[in-house]
Amino acid sequence: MSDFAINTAPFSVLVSSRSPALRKALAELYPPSLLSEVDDSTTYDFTLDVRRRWAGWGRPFHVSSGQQHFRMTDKAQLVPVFEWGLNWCVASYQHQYLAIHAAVLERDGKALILPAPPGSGKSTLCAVLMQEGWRLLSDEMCLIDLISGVVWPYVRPVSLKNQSITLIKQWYPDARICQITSGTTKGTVGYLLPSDLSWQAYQQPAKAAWVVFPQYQPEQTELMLTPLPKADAFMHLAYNSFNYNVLAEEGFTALSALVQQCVTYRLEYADINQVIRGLNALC
Amino acid sequence: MVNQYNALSACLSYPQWLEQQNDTPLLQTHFDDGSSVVFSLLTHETSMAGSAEAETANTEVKPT
Repeated sequence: MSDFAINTAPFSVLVSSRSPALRKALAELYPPSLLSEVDDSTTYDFTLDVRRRWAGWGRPFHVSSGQQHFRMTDKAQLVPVFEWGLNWCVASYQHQYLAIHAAVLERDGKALILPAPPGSGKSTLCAVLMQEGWRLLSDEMCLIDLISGVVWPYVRPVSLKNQSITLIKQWYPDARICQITSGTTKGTVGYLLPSDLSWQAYQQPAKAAWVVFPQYQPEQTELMLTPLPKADAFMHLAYNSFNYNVLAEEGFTALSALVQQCVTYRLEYADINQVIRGLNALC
Repeated sequence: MVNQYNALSACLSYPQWLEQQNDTPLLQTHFDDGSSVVFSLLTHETSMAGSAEAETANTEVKPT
């Protein structure tokens, strides 16, 4: 087993690993066409090293990129740590986009951006909307083109955690959730495979139309979809951005253009069916 | 997946923030709903214009 490449547009990633288990696991999560042998004529966007080292108890895997160490892990948690490592590389180094921590879905060419901190129910909401026919662009990274302003997809399996796994299985028995790993720093993690529609259009950007800040509120009886002043939306998007501070003036300009063209809301919900109806009604 | 450092913090009113900028060049975006944000080209801070309690963003979000 040797190094391999994973071509999850817009990034080509060289995975430097001797672990047959990792590649086998990724083959369950990604279409075969996106996993390939290393091509010497290709310039990769970044390299992710996943290797056992002699030092350390139990010879753990070290996940790193270049000289930067990300995390150590044992074999049982290799898949989630690899997936988090991909996110870390994009967030840390890929500053040709304004990157915001948000789920993005598309319908009729229009992108819905769902920025939210961990624990807000973002991934569950993203999974539900994808199962309801929205096209997944990403459950984690909203990548905004600094020149054209379009949102680029970064299609990868949706990371579900803990009770979200049970809920999605319950609501959508046909949903394909793979590589369920327990005992991670985030509890149990599983990966929902993107819909066929999402993979088919994995290189097709969308124009941002809505920014919705979701918050799961268990005591809520009615869905609250409240217009949010655009300046507030801007500040919260900047807060949720990985590289707004790096891009400085360029980031301000790109984010201003994005917010100007979108309708912005705050969403408070408890009932997922109300959310589906509410967000479908935006279209 | 993320730790967020030094994120949004309510610290200064907009007039106070503006005063601190002295003669720093600023960029301002006026949104179509009447709200507005201002960016300092010197300090790279961003502020909501006009609010009594402006929030400044100088964000660094790091995945872990």
